[in-house]
Amino acid sequence: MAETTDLTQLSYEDARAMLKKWRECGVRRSEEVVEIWEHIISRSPASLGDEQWAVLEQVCIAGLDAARVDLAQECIDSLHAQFPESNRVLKLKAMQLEATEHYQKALEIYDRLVEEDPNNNSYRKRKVAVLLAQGKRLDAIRAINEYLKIFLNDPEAWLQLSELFLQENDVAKAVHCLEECVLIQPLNSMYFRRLGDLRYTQGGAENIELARAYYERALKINPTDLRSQYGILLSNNQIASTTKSASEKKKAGTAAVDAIDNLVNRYQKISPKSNPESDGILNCLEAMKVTVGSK
Amino acid sequence: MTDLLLDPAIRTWVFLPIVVITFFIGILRHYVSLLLMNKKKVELENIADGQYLLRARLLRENGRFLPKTSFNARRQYLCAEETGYLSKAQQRPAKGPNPMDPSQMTEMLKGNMMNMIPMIVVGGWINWTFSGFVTTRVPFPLTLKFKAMLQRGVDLVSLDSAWVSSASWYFLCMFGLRSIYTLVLGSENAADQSKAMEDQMAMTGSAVNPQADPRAAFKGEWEALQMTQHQFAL
Repeated sequence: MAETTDLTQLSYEDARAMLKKWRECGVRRSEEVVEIWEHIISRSPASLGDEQWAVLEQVCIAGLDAARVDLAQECIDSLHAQFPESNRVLKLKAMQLEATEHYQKALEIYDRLVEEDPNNNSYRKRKVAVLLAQGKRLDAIRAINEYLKIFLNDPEAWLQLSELFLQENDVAKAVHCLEECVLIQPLNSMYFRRLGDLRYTQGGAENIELARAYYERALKINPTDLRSQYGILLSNNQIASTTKSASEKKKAGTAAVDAIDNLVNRYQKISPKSNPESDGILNCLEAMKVTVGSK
Repeated sequence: MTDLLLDPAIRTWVFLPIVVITFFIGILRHYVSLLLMNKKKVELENIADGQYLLRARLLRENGRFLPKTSFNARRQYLCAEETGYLSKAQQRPAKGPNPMDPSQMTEMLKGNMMNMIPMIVVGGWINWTFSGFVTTRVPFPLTLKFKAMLQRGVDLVSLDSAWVSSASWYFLCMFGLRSIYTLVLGSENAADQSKAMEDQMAMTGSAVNPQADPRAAFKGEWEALQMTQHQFAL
């Protein structure tokens, strides 16, 4: 964590601003949210004005995440008193049921919510989450597919689906899902890196070439991406050892050596204290450079 | 020319009442329309339509990051002759707001009533009660062209055009109170006349609105996607 300040010592206004920031960015810092709420904000929630309800919702979800069901119950109670017929509160209620492993009841509530408001995608997503929590992977895949027929520009769902397919060892379909993510957010290096990983896993000359291209793209978007650097090294190494054309071989070989140099640079910069294994990795890389370079 | 001197009673009994009346009528309009209007329901199909259109556009723009086979598969999925979503959507019968549907009709009627009745009644009443007053003066000189706008109901050739008559003051208030309504009622309010008028203008020039006729939008996307040449960018 970047800041080391004691969260319980924040002033009221600072705490409020911090909660607001986290709420808007969608950061998952549940423990801290609960802490801020209990030590600071809960002293006088009424002085938040209308913001109070949004904060209560945030704290409720954080409480569920941090296994503080009692706190979540408090939040739900006060929200329910304020908005007795709100679907949003009902969703929180269902999430609480989820957290206490009453999956069937939670699903029933979500079904009802979806029926009442078919345009709200969050209820459908929660249903998938319930299936995932129950470990019903195939059902979850089916549910996400159903969901993606309507909301097909939701990268979160595509990413989840690709992970599920990977757990089922269906790399080709996982690739398809990640390609969707790339279409929707072409500037996210993670998608490219994962695509590279998958193409590399699939193997074959063409896929390795693709993997290299994807790794390079990922590294271009995010120059600090160590994994992509390794990916470039490995895919180039692979190409160098399998390709038949001599020029291609030489090119891939030098690219691999370059990648090793970059990696070595990165590891030399960090002190052994922060990563005790960096020395071993450095030795490994140097050794690899010799073998790659000799090819 | 000596300056006009207005009776302070005009300020108390004409100028301020007009402001207050317009303001409260706006508030009233807001709450009455809340009572009468039911929220427009967006159909699930419309959402899906929008999503598919967006997806076709994303495919055109970012398809260069996909290998050729993946790109073609997706294009096929969207544009295929019989099964593609974009092709199918073009064949769908036009829906649009059906003017003969009674529920739509009452909806439109309500909207128009909400706009017209206060306009006519209050405008007429203000005109009748407060007609013929010069109420205030804008603090800068204006050209003669503004006389028609600012001096409705006071036809004096010699009057400087910076003076504002009561009827005109009413109109100025009606259109000028928008930011105050936003302050009082929040941004999604129905109190504002000028907004309603803008909506009507938008209705007439609805070529850009995909809701109006999704088929045209689908056809455009379909053609654009067919034309796209795939070029792997990496």
